[in-house]
Amino acid sequence: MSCTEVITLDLNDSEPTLVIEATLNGQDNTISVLLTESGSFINPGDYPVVSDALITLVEANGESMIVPEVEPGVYSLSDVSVFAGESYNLSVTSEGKEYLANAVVLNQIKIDSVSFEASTFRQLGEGFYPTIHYQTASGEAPWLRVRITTASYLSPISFLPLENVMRPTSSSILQASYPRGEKLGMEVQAISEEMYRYFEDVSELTGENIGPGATSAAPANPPSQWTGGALGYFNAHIPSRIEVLVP
Amino acid sequence: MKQFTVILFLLASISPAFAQSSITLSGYVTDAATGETMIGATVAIPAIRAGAYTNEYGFYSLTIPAGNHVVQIRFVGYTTDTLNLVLEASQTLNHELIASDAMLDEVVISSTKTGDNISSTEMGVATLNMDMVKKIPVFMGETDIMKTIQLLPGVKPAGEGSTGFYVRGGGADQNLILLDEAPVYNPSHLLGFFSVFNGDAIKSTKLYKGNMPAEYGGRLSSAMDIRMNDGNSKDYGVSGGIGLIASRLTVEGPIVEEKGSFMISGRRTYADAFLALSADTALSSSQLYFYDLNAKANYRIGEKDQLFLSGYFGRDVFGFQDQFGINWGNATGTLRWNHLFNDKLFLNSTLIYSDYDYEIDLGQTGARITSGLRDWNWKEDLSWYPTQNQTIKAGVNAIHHSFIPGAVTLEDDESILEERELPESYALETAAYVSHEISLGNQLKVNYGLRGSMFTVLGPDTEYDYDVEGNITDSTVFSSTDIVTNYAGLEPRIAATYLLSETQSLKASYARNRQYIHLLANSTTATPTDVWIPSSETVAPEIADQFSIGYFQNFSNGMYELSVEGYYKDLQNQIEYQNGANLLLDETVETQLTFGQGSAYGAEFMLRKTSGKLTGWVAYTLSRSIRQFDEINGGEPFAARQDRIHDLSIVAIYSPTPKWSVSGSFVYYTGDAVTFPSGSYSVDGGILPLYTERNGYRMPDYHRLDLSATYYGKNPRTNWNFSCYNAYGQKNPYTIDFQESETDPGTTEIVKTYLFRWVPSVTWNFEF
Repeated sequence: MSCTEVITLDLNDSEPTLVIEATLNGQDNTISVLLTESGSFINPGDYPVVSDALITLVEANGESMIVPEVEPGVYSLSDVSVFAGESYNLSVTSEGKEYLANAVVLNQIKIDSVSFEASTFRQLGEGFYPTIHYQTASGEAPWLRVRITTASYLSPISFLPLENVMRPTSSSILQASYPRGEKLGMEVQAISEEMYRYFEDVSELTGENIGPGATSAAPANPPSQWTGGALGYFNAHIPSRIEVLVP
Repeated sequence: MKQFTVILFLLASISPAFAQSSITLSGYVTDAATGETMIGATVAIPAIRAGAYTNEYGFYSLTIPAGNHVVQIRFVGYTTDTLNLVLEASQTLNHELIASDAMLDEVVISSTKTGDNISSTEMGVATLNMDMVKKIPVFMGETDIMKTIQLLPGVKPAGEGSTGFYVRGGGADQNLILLDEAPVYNPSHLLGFFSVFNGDAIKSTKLYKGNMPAEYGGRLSSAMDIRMNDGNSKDYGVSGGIGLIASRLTVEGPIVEEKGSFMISGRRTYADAFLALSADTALSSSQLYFYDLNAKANYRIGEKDQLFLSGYFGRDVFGFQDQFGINWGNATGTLRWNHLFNDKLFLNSTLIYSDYDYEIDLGQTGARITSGLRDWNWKEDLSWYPTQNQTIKAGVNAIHHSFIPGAVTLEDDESILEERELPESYALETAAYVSHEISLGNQLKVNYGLRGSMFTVLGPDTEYDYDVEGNITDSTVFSSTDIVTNYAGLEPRIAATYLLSETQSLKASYARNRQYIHLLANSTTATPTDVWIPSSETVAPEIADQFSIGYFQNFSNGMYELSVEGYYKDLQNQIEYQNGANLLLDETVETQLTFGQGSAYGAEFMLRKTSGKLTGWVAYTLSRSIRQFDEINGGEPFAARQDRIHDLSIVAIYSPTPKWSVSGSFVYYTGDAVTFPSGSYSVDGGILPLYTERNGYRMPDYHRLDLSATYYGKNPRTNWNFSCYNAYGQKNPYTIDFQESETDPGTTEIVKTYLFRWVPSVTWNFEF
């Protein structure tokens, strides 16, 4: 019924915008920040790193420390004290402009075990999908983000368990299934709802076919926690890790 | 309500005591061949500057001094009759008009040679003449009033493949579409390529562009009043047409000759018959069709009473193999009773039922989603014609709405979806109005009125309280006898016409409108899965204030009509989606909405040639439609999606001989404002688009030429129509998407999807 044609449009590639990806890891006690700039839409993939920025982490007790640049665009510091319930402020100053973000660290999730069920849902293909059994300190359903590393993938893949399955004592990750014998490294992060929504928006926008899309009635950037107009996130959490073998 | 009593009392006291020397002439104007009543026919006595129009039922009432008078009765497309009458006492004058030779006489939109467009207080209004509508080429040879009104200034189509429309910068849900007084919630068939209105069943269509009289309300931007034919009360008739994609049939006739009549008109497409021939198995096992049925019956009981029963029933079915299916439809029923208390007082009582529903079948997941809206509506409309120069109207209107926002039922236990049912909600929308039209001297005519409306959300219902982030903090449960929320307000209306001369006038108007129900669209293109929601604690009624001013002039004895109108519309409590909203089946959909304001302003120019072998018009609108929401675009004003700065339509109908009529229409308009990415960036290892301004980009400009030719041949009862939609094959975009380039991996390409290029069609029409 319809036909398609490739066209050209003048998409006014905008001025580069700063993207700050900051993670405060309470298990490794490190703060790591990646600074990049936005690039072209038509020719994506070229995102210059941003060096010589001044990054300062301020703990709840007021103590501040500078996060040094260890590689171009990558700023990292170890031996950082991270406590659940504490609030942390991060400040990034680049090219004379300051960007601020704040995050509160939530309690760590204790993983009891991981079970696997055969995938019956046709869409996922054959294999087994994991269910993580855990406990939360408060007994309330948490917001989770799970990163899975396997031998097949170079870098970890993030999953957000569906909202309606995040119950206090188990959570299924339906979006992927794994074959028998695969070894999985899982990292479970307890994050705030704000962070969950942010990563949910990111996953909806990421991919091959991007643009004003079928799912969103109002395409927009995922809400950034950073002041000053920077994109990105500041994810502070205490992850739990487990390695499992798919039986 | 005390204000109403005071106003009524004042109006009653205006009625002058001319009892002895004035008489009332009243009656019905009908078509001599079919007995159909004529809406908006003129009964005039030019010598004393007296005149009246027939109302929606063909009734007129004219109070004049007793004596000898020359009475003129006229209507577009009919021979004007002149009667010399001696009128000493009030009397009934029913008159039949004979259709004139339609080829050469005026076959126009509205008005006649004597300039009704100049003298009426109506501005920002267009009346469609069905004879003319049938000559304008539209998609697949089907006559379509919805497509035709989009050729008028100030009315913009929602886009390729959509019968939704925007009037003066307002949203597609801000148009009240009435079919024999029943509201039609989704006027589209087949994803918008056809409207639900079968041209053969329609008698007249009138579109008010925002400043509607007090008897209309409930939508901000326009009221479209569509009246069905009553049916031939003199003789049985069969008419219809057979086309490539659709066919239609109408059967009509008298129920007891000249006392009553009936009409049944049906239509069906068979596009899927062609799909079945396709080699592509995906297409050949798909379904794509619609059907609709219009039926009406009326019966005159005595001299003073008439009963009407009319109904519409239509359904669309679209199915793609067994993977996906969607069907939707409207059903309306109207029962009306006209009663003449005396020759000056006319009452219309109406009971209406309207139902709109859709069902999405997600074959693969085994789920079915249903949603809809159901209304019961009661109206009383009274018209009083006390003296020569005045008309007073008053009425009440009550609608009970049932909103069925959505339910998911599962056939397959293994589906990942859950069974859910969003609770139904109920509301009562009530209104009362009074309006007064009066001529002050020979040059000034004023129509002013007041409408009071109220919206009461009823139980059973559960209302949620939200915190700033949209989390539910509390809930209140209401039973079926509780009132959940109530909104009420006044809607003043005023319009004035000042006659500069016989052929020139200046008009100005102001109207306030309130809208209590709102359409939420789940995507950037209109789909039948859009959901109607009522106002609530969180969602306030939308309000519009529209000011307009216009200059009207006729040239060459009415052959040319010029109109220039400017308007400014202020919109409050407009609704938009929060950034990144996803509306499918969300019970707390209100947390994904944000509220703001808007304004729309513009100038509309129209030059019409109304008679001769060549008729037609040129319409141009220059306008803006802007919105401002604190939570969108950083609080900066942005263009509304329908902000179409330039909009041009040219229509020409040429009838060189009685055997042939050819016509063409050309449209050109600025593309919609859209949000496209301005860059890209990386987060969490993936690449995302970077958005800057909301609606900062434009779709490519839209333009199209349609051509049509009708051959009347030897047999006057049949004709052949040949048409070509999009005659030069312009690839107007339906959507624009982005994807990774296959030829140059790593780069993004912009892909335009377009629907139709050249679409020819042939239809054979008959009338027996």
